[in-house]
Amino acid sequence: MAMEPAAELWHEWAQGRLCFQECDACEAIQHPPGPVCGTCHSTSLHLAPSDGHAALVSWSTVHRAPAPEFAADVPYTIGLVSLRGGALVQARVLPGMSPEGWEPGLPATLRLGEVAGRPQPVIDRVGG
Amino acid sequence: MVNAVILGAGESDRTPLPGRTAIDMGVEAALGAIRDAGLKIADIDGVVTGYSLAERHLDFSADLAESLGIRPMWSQTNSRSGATGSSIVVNAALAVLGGACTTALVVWADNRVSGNPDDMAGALAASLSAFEVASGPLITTQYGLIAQSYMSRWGATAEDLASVAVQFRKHAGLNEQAKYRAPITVDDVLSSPMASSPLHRLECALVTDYGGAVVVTRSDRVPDAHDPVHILGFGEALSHSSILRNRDLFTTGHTAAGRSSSLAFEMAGLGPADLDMAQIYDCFTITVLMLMEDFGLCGRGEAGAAVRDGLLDREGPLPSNTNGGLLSNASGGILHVTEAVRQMRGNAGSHQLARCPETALVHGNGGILGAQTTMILGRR
Repeated sequence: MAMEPAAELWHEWAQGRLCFQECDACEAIQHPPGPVCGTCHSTSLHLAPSDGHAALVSWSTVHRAPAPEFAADVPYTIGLVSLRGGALVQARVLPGMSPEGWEPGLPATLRLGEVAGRPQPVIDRVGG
Repeated sequence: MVNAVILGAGESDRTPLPGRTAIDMGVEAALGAIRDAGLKIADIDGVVTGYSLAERHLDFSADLAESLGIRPMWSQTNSRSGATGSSIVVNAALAVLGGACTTALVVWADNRVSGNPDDMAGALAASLSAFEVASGPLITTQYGLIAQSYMSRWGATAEDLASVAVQFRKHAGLNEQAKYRAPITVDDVLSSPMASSPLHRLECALVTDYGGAVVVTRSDRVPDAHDPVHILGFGEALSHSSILRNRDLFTTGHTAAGRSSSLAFEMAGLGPADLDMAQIYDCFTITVLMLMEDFGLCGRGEAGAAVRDGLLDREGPLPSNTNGGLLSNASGGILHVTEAVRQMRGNAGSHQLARCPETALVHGNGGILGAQTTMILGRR
């Protein structure tokens, strides 16, 4: 039996494959993944590999951890980036990168990393 | 034309007490609203309530109704996040207009301080998708992402956002029930600890106990000599659960409040220029600025300047959040409703406006700017 789309995506990331859900019918990238395409309502979707190329949309630096597993990282920056077609991904910005001078539209790169021990996409470059 | 009306409003005491339950405060608010409506408990044949974050109830409305000794013909519990306070009033209006009941009690109460804060943190975290939670955001972070985008798009400043908190604190100063009453300045807001940039601690809603209630019936069932507040229009809209699924927030900056308010204004036959007062869901400073623009109270990107110019001041053109709002008075979007009713009926006590408003907009926002409910209230 096929895995539920979210479980399948976490599984792919844990295996080191950066991918996102894509609609078979309209080719929209959809995130978070789900059983129905939010653009065309097709129920036929698959996971497609991603090269990680994205554009910066917004960011916020967190000064108080929401849960104990994030406490050691405080303060940390969370970025919002858009993939081809505009799908949004929220990801931790790697330590050492400062939002100083950032503006929406700068190129950004996602790659697989870990936050609080969980494999997931992280933002490892903004601009340049 | 028949419309729904609000006959009375009540609020509970909000002082945290060991063991004080959400039901305790719901009952206290309900009894106050029934008394203010000039009714008896036996007159109530419908009950609609919000949910509790701090306390588990499978059906809050059932537990509340039983506590009041009511066996209503219509009851339900609504869980529409922050929009619940306004949404349950809309539910009641639909129920009385549709004939499900004749006189509906509307209650939202929660013991967010007296109750179990661990349960509350878990309940709030459930409002985000796992694909957001994994990166370590606060709820404030999700609003912070939207605020940062708004500031980048319009060149809005930290001072613009902070001015919302300063304005509502000024209003709280006159409200004897408000949690925080001492005046603050823009500098105070900007020097309070950063929660999740660009939002500082003083730009975030308070966490308090609360209970609020109103009684809703049809305009053709208003008791003689009673002085009701009419629900002239209402509208609701939902754009997303996860902000990742609504890129409009980061492109145009529009929320579904544009649609909910358009529906409400259209039903009321009124527009933004006709409003005497507004009670706007103010979970964060950014929320107020974006909603103001969605309502058409000012142009896109102009809300910060409008607040700094005194648009929302109690002595300005559109007195808003006259009790101090979520930012300085208390938690609970139902208090935006009770405050509007009290101001319009002239019994807001120490913070009563000099002139009772004839019209008002009341708005609830739920989730991360996803669920929107707008009501237009009037005196005829």
